[in-house]
Order: sequence, then structure tokens, then C-alpha cells
Amino acid sequence: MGWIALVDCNNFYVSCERVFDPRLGGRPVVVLSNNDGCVIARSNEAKARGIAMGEPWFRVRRRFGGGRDLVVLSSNYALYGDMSRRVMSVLAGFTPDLEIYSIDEAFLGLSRLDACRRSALAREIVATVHRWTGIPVSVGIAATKVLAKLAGARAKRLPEAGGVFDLDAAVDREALLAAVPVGDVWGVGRQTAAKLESWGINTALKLRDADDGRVRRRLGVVGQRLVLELRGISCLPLESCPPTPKSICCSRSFGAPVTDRRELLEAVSAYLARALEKLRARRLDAAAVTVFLQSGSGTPAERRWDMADLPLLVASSSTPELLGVARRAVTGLYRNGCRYRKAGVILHGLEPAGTGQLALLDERDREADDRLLAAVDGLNARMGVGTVRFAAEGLAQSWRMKAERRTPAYTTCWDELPVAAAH
Amino acid sequence: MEVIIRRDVLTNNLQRMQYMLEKTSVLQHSQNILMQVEADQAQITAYDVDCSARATFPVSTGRNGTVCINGKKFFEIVRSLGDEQVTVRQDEERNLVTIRGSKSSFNILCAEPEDFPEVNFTSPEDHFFIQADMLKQLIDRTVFSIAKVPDPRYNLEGVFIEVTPAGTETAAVTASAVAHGAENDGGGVTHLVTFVATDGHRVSIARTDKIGGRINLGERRIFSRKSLMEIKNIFSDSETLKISFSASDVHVRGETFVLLLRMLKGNFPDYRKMIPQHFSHEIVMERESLLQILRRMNVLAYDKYKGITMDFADRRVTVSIDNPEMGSAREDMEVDYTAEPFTVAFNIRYLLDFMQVVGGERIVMKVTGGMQPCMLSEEGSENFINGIMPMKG
Repeated sequence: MGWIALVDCNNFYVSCERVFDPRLGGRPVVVLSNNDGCVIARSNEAKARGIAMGEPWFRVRRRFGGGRDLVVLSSNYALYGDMSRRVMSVLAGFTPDLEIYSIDEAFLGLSRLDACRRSALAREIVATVHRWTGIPVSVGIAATKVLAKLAGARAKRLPEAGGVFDLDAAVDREALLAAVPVGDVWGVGRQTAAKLESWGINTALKLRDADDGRVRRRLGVVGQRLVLELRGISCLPLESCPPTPKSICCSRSFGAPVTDRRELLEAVSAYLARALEKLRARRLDAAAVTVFLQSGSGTPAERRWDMADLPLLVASSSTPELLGVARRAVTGLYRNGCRYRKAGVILHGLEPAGTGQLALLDERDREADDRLLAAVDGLNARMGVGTVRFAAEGLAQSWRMKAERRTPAYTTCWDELPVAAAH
Repeated sequence: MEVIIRRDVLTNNLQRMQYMLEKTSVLQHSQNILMQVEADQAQITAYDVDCSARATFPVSTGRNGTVCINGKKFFEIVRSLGDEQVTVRQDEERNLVTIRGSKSSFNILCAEPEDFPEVNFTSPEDHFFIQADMLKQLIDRTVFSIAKVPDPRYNLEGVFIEVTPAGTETAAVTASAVAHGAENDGGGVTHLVTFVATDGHRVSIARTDKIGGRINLGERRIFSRKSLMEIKNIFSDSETLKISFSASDVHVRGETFVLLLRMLKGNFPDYRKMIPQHFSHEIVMERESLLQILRRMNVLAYDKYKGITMDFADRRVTVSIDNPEMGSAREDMEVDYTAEPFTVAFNIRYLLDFMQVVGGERIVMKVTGGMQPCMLSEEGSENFINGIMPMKG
């Protein structure tokens, strides 16, 4: 029987910040979302003070008298992304069966190891990742992915066990499942949890022992897979090759409301250029673009979304071509005097680059575009993001979101490398 | 109004109108049929955004009048009666229509006939005649290329129809034209009617010179898929149809029915520029063999992996498909090609759409490398050609 280990980085964003600033150790640290909006990562010390995940920063600041006792940081995705790549490359050294599930989580296939060797390997993973990257991780081991998620959650709460928990070797397995609310089971969303609770299924144990026919009828094949996974029968295989994404989105809130059409165009152009850079890095083309603008504030009902869906004759990842498309979309959507708070683009209909359908009515020199973008991407890869950019993105970019507390991009920008001094 | 009608006649006429009646009502009367009776003749009319239809047939009149009734229910009731004749009677006071057989009687609520839109079915003078089966073939050979997504520059969501002079031969449906009491154009000039549809990736061009009548040249119109499909639903293959154009519509008149199709607005691209005049390779292939190969390859094709590769070399073409999530397949076929080997990739759906409607034993593929448009046609005829852009790679 094969085993699955879930490796989960502890308080990942905070841990990344602590690697380069050890003074943050033992202090309550929170990391804020884009535009310094909400709390998206907390150190254990911050959790102990009752700061909730997703809590708006203005509320936290009010509760904690301006937040001077806290270390508050803007999110630094360049750093987190790079640290994640380092952690994942360490994990890849342990097994080729690696599924990168998110920026801070990965499933590992452990083949047919006995309990003793499984735990030893898990402890070695924890120690190696910490030694080589500085990031603390915990490891949950079980027969299936759903059980491994439960084991991983348990491992985080057991620092005395070295951040490792093997569910199969646990003597109190039934009690553990009975203590997990059904809504905390991986794959059970809020609506499904409410439905299950109305049937009296309120724990992971009760879901495991639920009637097969009833689950199949009410929750379909997805629900039945969940139940089988809880019983230790693997239905969700490891996805070692990440599937092609269905879409790529790039959107940001503005630092202050934008009313000027030129600034709005700049912002949408910059987001589009970024999304297309990601698209080209994955060697994909997009068959359609959606441009959206959000105005209004307050409750979701008071916000207004304006959207334009733009199908392309030929699937493309060409920034010059799509900048023109986005410009037409923004011009069509723009309302004079409106205070825009957020904008974004979504690229849809993704397909492998260079395999798409050509068009009879196409007059664009795509080979010239390809040569230009290869040069731009090459320069930005070598010299840093934004070294070369399209004029449509603007130079001053006064609309950029707030990130007043962002730490340097320690590992991805030459100018921001940490400096060590010896006296 | 009170009339006695042969049930098979009424059923047949109502049935042909059923596709036109909207299931979900867009317009107030798009689910209704207007029935007018006068002097031993009944007319039933259906109305929709894209088209309208009217059928005329004999009745045994008791009393003239007009009723407006739900078309689907009217049809279902008449069809369900087992009698040879049905009686349709209007009860004006109670706003009801009674449909009666020998044993059954239905009272159906009806709408105000005055509210039914007025449609002018008077055909303009300029017209041409064409056999219904030929017209249906032109539709079948083009509708599959209609664009499914809008193009900001052109209106590609319909079939473009054009009438032009072709040569010096006389029109071929003269006999039918005479049967309709029509005049020939007098000059003995053959005219071509051309149907064109494109989605920007492929273009289907179907034409015929088997038309006759008083033709006003230069008619260039776009009509929606839905309205053209009504021609297929309403007219039987053996009918001779009189086609005439007004400023905004085309009138199609058959033996019982007249159908009015509304023109779509917008520009259609110049289809003549879509297909090159010269190609570097010309390959003749057995149609049925290639169709069977494509059908087999299509088993592995789906939305994301729809490309097939055709490798031409040394009197053979190797057709292959590679679906990274499923597997791959390949098959060889003998072809009449001996020049330099070359490879070209196509969307398999585009080839199948053409191959399923083209006639003849052999087809001709004209191509210039893997990045230029390819032209497909039946060997020995260019009355139906399909221009397809290859896929990249």
C-alpha cells in the first residue's frame, strides 16, 4: 500500500519574512493582503492574541491601539514565490512523486514504507527543509490525500512530535476523526457542510461511516470519493504534472480611487502585460480576454462591476496585440467621473503555444511579435522584472496599490539583496 | 369564423411551422399562429424576429374570420384527433376557439388578432427560381462555417448570399420559371447564386447557376442560420421556389408557403480575398477513404486536442493525431502526390464538416505549406469550395 505525505509550511509568509529578519522571531507578526487590506498570515504569537485570518487591518489596528505591539508587513509575493520554489525543489529531492498543491503545500508519494521508516523520512524532510531554506514545515502521513490533510493539521499542533504525524500509526484514530468538524474535511465546502450537518453528519468520522447510496445520491461522485478517501481508499491520485490552468487572472485594487481614463488604461495595460508574461512563461496562448473594472465601495451589493469579454480570432500571447484589444475594452467600459477601485484582466481558453488555429482574416505579423517578446522576456528575466516594459503601462504608475510595509525582494532583485557586514 | 378543414392538410401545414414557434417567448406573438379564412381559403401565419411564414390552403368555409391561437397547442390538438376533417370555430364573445372532431371538442383561449404583427408577404418584382433541393444543398454546404462568436469588424453570424452573372448560357430552371409564369431576363445570361459563410478560420463557398427568372444583379445579403434552417423545415425537396429580394428581406415562395427572411445588418468580408489564386501543391484523394480515416482519428480528438497532421510524401499521406491525455493514432492512404514532402495540420472538425457534405468520389486539396490557406473542392467542380486555415505548428 502506498502512503501520502502532506508537507505544509508553517505560517509560510511569516516564516519567509523571519528567514531574512531573525529579529521577528518570537514576536507577533502579521502579513497583509494586497493594498494592505486584510490579515492573510499570522505568526503563532499573533494567533495567540486572537487576530483572525482575513480580519481587516483597520479593525486589528483599532483593537490593538494602532498596532504598535505588532509587526505588520505588506505582502511580498516575489519573496514568497521564490522561497516556495526553493522548498519545493528540496522536496523534489526526496521523491519524484510530488504534487505542488499550493504555494506552501505539497503532497509526496512515499511508496511502500513501513511505519517506522515513514516517520524517520518525514522527520528528515522537516529537518532538511528547515536547514536548507529556513522554513519550518510539518508533515502529515496517511493512506489518502484527504486523510493526509487531516494528519497535517494534527502535525502542526504537535510540535513535540517534531511536526510529524502518521495517522495510520495513531492509536486514537477514531477519536481524531470524531473530533474533526465535517466542515474541516478537505473538499467539504460551506454549503456541503451545512447539508451534511442537516443530515446529522457533523464530524469526519460520521462522514466516513455514512451510507454509500445516500452520499452518492445527494453529493454525487465527488461526495462518494471523499467518503472513500476517509476510509483509506485512494480516489484522488497525485498530480505530478500540474494541469494546464483554465485561466490566468491579474487584478489589483488601486492605492486610491482612479477617475482618469489614462490612468485606468495604464493600470489595465500593466495587469495585462503581467498576465501575458505569466502566460508565455507557461508556453500557452489565450483565445479570449476579459477586462473588468470595479467601482463603488462598501458592501458587495454597492460595488459595480463592468466587464468586457473579447474573443480573439487567433489565440495569442502577444502583448502589443492584446494591449490594443484591452484599450478598446477600457474605452468602451469607461464612465466619466466614476471612481474606479479595482481593475483586472482574465485570459481564457488557454492552449499550448504555437498549436492554435490560424485565421483567414489575420493580418498581424506574429513572427515579429514573437521575436520582440522573446527579447523583452529575456531582458526582464536577466535584469529583473520591469526592466523593459510597454509604454502603455505608464512610467509613474501613481495608481499602484499601497504596500507601505513591504520588505525587500531579498532573493529576486540584485538591488535588494540582503547585505551582511562583519566587524 | 367557422371552417371545416381536412385534418391531414392542416396538420401538415402546422407541423412545418413548429420550429419557428419560440419555446421561450421573445416577442408577444412568437408562440402564436394567426389563422385567416376568406373565400374558401385559409392562411396561417407565424411570426418571429428572424423570419415569418404563411401557408395558404383550401377549406370548406362556413363563415369568414380571423383567430390568433397558440401554435404548438393548435398543432398538437389537430394531430391528436382521429378524424378526416376538423372544425375550427371562433366564439367571439368568450374569446375562445373551438377545435372539434367527430367525438372530441377543445375550447382554447385565443389572443387578439389585431395585436399580431402585420407582415407584408407581397413579393418584389425581381426574383429568381431555384429547386428547393438545390437551395437546401447550398444551405447545408455553408451553414457549418457560420461564426459562433461575434467578430468586431464583420458580421459573420450568417450566410452571405450574392447573385452575379456567370456566363452566356441560359438559366437552367427555365421550365420551372415558366411554370410560375415568370419571364427570363431576356438576355440569355446565366446567373450564379453564391452562398458564403465564414468564421474567420474557414470559409465555405457554394454556388449554382441552376436558377432562372427576372434577376436584379448585385444582391448581397446576410441571413441568419435560424432563418435559413426554416427553408429546410418548410419546403419539400421537389418544390420550385421563387426567391425575391426587398430592401430588408428575402421572400421565398413555394407551392403552399411563403417564407420571409429578415436580412442581418453589417458588413461581410470580401470572400474572394480569403482564398489565394495559386497554390504550390494540388493533391487528389479518395473522398470516402479519407472520410473514414478522419472519423477514426476523431475518436481521439476533443476540444483541447483537435488538430490532425497530414504528412504528404511519395504517393502517400499519413494522417495522425496526438492527444497527450489519451494517446495517438495514425493511418496511411495512397494519394496522387510525388513532389517534395510537406506537412500541414488542420482542425479535424473543419475537415469533417466539409467531407460530410461534399459529393463525388474524389476531392482536390490545394495547399501552399503549413501557414497558408488550403482549398478543398470536389474533383472537376468548383461549385463547392472550402478554404481552411491550417493550425500552427
